[in-house]
Amino acid sequence: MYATAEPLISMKLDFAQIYREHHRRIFNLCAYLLNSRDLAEDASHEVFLRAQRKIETYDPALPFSSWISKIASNYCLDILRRRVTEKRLFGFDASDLPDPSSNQPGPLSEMISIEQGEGVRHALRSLPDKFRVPLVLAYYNEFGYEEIAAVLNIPRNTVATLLLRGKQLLRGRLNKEKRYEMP
Amino acid sequence: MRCPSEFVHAQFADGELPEGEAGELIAHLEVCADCRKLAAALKEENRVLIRNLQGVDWWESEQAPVRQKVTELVSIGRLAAVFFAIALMARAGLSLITNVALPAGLNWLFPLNFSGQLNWFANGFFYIIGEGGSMMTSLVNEVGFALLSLFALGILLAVTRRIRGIAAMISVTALMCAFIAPGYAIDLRKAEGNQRNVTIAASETVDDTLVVFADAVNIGGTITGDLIVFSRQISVQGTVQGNIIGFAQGIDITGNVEGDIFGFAQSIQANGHVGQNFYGFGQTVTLGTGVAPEHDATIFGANANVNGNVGNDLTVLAGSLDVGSKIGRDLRFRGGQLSVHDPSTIGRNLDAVTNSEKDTQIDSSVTIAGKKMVEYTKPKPSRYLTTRFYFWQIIKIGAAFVMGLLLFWLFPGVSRVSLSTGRALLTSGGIGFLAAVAAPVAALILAITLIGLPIAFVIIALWLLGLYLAKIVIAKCVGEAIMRKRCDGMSAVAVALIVGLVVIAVAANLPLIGGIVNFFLFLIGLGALVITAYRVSGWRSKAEQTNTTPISLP
Repeated sequence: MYATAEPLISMKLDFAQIYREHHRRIFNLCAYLLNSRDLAEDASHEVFLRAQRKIETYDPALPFSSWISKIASNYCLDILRRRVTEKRLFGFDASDLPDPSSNQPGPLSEMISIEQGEGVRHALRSLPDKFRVPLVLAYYNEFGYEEIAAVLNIPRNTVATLLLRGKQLLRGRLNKEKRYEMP
Repeated sequence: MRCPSEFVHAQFADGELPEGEAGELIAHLEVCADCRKLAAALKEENRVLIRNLQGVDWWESEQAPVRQKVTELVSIGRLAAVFFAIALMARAGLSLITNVALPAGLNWLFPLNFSGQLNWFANGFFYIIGEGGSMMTSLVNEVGFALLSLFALGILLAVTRRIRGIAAMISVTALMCAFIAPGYAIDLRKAEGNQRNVTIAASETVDDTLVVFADAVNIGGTITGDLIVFSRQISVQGTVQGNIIGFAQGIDITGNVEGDIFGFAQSIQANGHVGQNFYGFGQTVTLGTGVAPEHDATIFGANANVNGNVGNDLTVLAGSLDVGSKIGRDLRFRGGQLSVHDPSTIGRNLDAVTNSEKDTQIDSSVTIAGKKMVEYTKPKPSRYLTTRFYFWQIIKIGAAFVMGLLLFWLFPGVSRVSLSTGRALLTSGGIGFLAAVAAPVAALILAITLIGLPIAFVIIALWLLGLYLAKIVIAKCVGEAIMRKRCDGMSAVAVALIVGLVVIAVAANLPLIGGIVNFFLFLIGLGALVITAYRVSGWRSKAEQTNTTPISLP
């Protein structure tokens, strides 16, 4: 009995440390997912409260950051889901299909050439939730397709489609922004 | 093998292509240079994404949308250009076909007549009463023109930096120059060197508007325009053909003023002829026997003495007023003590509210042609002692509660307003303050244009609604704060709302600080409402708007 209780106690004691270590990452994740600083502040706070409550369910064999990222992702998705009026927005329709004409490496250079990153992040922020969320899960959280499919509760193939379409939109936005830049 | 689609390539780059397909693709890559290039580019793209998302904090991307702003500016510019083009064509077409132009009185409506519009605004703002003055109009014209030029310049620079843009910029500026009326001449004088005073000698004539900054100003000569003075002591014995606008410790006017007098000073003494109106704001305001404003006299001050004749109305808000002269029409007084004595005559009504009967002395020899209405301010019994007060508080809380439930039910977005952080509170308060001030000002400006009158009414209606709903929004947040939890369900919201409403009703009625508490809560609530409306409405640019599109998962 003591053997199991002890690590939990030390875990609780260390929660301040955990918070310090992971807060920035979790806040950023929430901000990318929710696209709002205010909401992200509330959400990251709640995520740590939940993590503290559910600490018994954490499997120390896995990295703690993945575990808490998953809590954060699920919590933020719940918030996004609560905004609903329509059904199945992560499901996709014909207009979401990747643009077949972009089977050229050309536009990719737009993204690669913007090394400052500010353009990429800003373009990402301007994407609809539907495309932004899978992109954030894939490239911020580095979740695999299966994990994203599980979190979003959609088929794996849809994840692949949303990611590709999201990246195409991102390239489009970067392209458009570039046109407004001063020569 | 045919080249695989980007879809396949993208999954490969993500390391997510099933093993069999991946093997086929690798084999294909060995023989296809194009696909190798694409695969490499997609991998690099992923790396760029990961680097840019993980390496930098999210808020740094918050500061990025400079370009977004530029694009917004561009769309505003385009809109303005389209508006001006249509207006110009309409006017040109109208005058070509029917030879009818806008009537002279409405010419200021013509969109390119900036000068006319600015004149109109200036007159509206600074000279709502009286005939309007050259000085302010001219100043506003200059500043307005400069701002408009800068605005046009900004838009054109934003649109393009090519030659075409520069040409367009020059032509727009030239067009604006052509339409701007020449400003009135301004003579600016300052006290310089050892000379701390500015004096216009009796023989001197200043043939335009005079602006003076000095320790003491003495006007003995003639000013043909307005006289605007910032000084410790102002003394006018000469003639001012325009208006006098004076800010000083003491103002003493014995000369002849053909326009209005606006005096802001500790003590104002007027003893000469005033062609139009007299407005005095000061501790002691005295209209001597020699003064005779042909129109109205309006006084705000601690002590007011009126011994000169007033052509029309005399309106006074002061601690005490002493009248011994002829008032052409009404005498209106609000304040402490009133004394109207011989040889006063009042052409129409006397309407006064004073402290008490003892503080009101109206000589029986004073002639009042119209009605004599004198009221005394009565000390009111404490409202907290009446049941009526509590009854109405309960009714108010009940009404706000029902309104609140309706609001949160109709617009669930509003119930998500969170003011849990100091930053959110400050932001809301600031935005609330702006909204509280800006909406009536915008409505006033629109109302002045007459054609904007319906929009002005809508703005005022929305503003009033906002004022009412602000308290409801803040009540829910207060309730949540007291109950220490976020309320999402309707019943939880209802509980938070009623708790908050009761607490706010008590807080707003606290002696001394109640008003301040009420005011700040109202500002924060209004700000939160505005932010929510902004978030859920279509006011944002389309790109941003899509972010808040409600999403749902199966």
